Amino acid sequence: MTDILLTGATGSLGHYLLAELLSRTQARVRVLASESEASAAIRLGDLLDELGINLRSFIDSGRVRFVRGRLPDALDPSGLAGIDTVLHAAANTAFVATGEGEPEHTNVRGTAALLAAAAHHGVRHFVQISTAFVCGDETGLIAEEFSESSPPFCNDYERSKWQAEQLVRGWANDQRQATICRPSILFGDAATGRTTSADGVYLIARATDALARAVRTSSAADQHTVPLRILGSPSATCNLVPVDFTARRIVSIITDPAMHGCVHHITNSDPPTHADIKRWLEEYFDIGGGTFSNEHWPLSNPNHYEELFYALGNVVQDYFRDGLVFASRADGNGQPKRRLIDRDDFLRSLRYAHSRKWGRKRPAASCDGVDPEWYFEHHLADTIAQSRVARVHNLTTVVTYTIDAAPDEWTCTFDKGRLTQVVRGQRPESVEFGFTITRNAFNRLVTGEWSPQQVFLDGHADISGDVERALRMVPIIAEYIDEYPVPLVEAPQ
Amino acid sequence: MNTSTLESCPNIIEERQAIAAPGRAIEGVLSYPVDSEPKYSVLVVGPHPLMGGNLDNNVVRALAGGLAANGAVTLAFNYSGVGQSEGGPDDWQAAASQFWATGKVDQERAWIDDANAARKALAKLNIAPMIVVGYSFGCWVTAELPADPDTTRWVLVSPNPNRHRFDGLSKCSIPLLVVHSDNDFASTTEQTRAWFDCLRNPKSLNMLDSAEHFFRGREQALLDTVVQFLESEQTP
Repeated sequence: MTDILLTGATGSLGHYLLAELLSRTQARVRVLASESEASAAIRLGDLLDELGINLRSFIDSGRVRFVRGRLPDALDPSGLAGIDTVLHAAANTAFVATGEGEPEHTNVRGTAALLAAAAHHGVRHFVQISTAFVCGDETGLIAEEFSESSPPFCNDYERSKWQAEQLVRGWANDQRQATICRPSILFGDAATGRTTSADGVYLIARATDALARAVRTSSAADQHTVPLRILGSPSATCNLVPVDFTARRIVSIITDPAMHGCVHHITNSDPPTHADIKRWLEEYFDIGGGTFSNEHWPLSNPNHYEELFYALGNVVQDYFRDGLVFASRADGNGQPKRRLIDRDDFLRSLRYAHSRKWGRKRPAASCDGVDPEWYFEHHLADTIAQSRVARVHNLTTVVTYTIDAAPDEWTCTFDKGRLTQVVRGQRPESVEFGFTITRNAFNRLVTGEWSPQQVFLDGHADISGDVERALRMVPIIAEYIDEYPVPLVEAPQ
Repeated sequence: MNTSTLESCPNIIEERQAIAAPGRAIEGVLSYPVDSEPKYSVLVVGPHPLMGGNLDNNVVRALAGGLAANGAVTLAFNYSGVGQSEGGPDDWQAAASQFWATGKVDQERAWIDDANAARKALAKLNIAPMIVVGYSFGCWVTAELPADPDTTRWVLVSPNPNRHRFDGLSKCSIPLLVVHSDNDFASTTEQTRAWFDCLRNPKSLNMLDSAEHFFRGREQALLDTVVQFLESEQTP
């Protein structure tokens, strides 16, 4: 029986990988988790529940166990003792380098740390989940092989994954093999449309959603003739692959020794074009008028609708490529192309993500309501970077939230619109203001039932510190909750 | 004088209104007593829409409903972009950034137009005299309204002289009431009193204790103060 260490198990691909390993192989899986075993088991159990997998039964039978650690700095190498295969799916997907050094920190340094530990413990097989876009902005037919030289990259994510591939390649020798799996752009589950991520190509859908909502509330524009320049060519393709298909393919590679030691593209041989996706989005949101433009980013003199559509940046540039074809031995030579994503697939996943407010995660909820720890340390931390709040570039402050019935408090540090730190139980001197809120009002607030203004004016919350600054924060909080409310979970009957 | 309490507000009728503001329709609520002819009309101008200024605001509700229960026809409204009111900032991110940095947004002139449109709508009912009541940011909005000869009383609840200029107060000499709370974060008692001393006459200043800026739980005391002012001015 094979022992596999899986990193990134709670990620959008990682939990599908775990589900495949548990349902289609006999492998014992060690899951690297940065949180306590109990907490990781709850999070992962919730995710696998949605895939029809009972994680608890696999934990009880010894098929799954947790190893605590965080890449790259807090990895206990002993967690790899007895491991045959490392399946490294953990990644940071930031396209633009952050102040914390991402994505290089996780993707390059994290891989290096894992490789060192794997070498120390005699791991024989290392499977790296990379990306098909390590080819950078190259065009033409991209071979399934290591690239010898660094191409011009389109973003920092591509560069970091290419660098990680080089490390993995250097790790392999006569005694151990390195396998590279290069998925293209992950999309929703082929059967259900399910996705846990609001990132990737869904950013384009979110931008279109924001545009459609704005147009409908404005009397100044007709929703079918919105003056929008869409950067790129209509014939460019968006190489989407369903997440379940990707996981199944990776696990089949792991279980077939003949596939080891190679590079594998997990890509779509007949991907939708930019024109396809534009048409499907227009149909879904009942909007129109956008025209393709060969102008360069940033747009010159953007109009109001273009500013809205591109509020999250140039959401289309990283997902559409002209003249790019990925070779794949899985597609076979001379075989007809397989269209993995068609209109119905696309719209199914769009409906799924839209109905869940673009991929917000399931709450750690109980009949007692929303768990504040989950809310501040996971939900807020995971979603606020995608919200419009992140575009309030001058939002720099330190604010404390106190749940008075707990009693417990979380201090959130915002730096130029980004939530850079969430600390529990310690109130630093730099706190500018604080909100104290009853537990009941907290539940009603974060689920969107009550507005922040209502919570305060009806006496369910108090403000300490700089009251005026706190009040200026209120519309920002309201906007965030409107975008990412926690779904109501009914108490069990 | 008998002041109807907030609990007696069921004895009023509330009608949703669509008010024609420049280029948009804004949402208003017209309130008036069930069983008597209104004695006067009151325009209630709420606080900053980014700080809870809407028809559900506790002070707006207390004044609009409470004054109607005391014999007025009142009109409160949602500023453009709030509730069912059309319009609002074209660019939320720019507005949020500006508001976070300065406490102000470019949209504020449009909100004055909203208040002016509401006043005109109320004036069409021909129920004199007209009284204008502003609360917090709404105080500044009322001071920015064009002069109106039909307005005979002016009430400012928790004005913030540290943030706003009130040059408009000198444009007329109608009786003015300023209501201030002793623990208002926006303006200390000393600051408010110094500002008030410089205002033209006739005027009066009423201090409420422990009402903060928000009058949470002190809505009745605020209503009583305003009713007392209006009634005394009605029957000199």
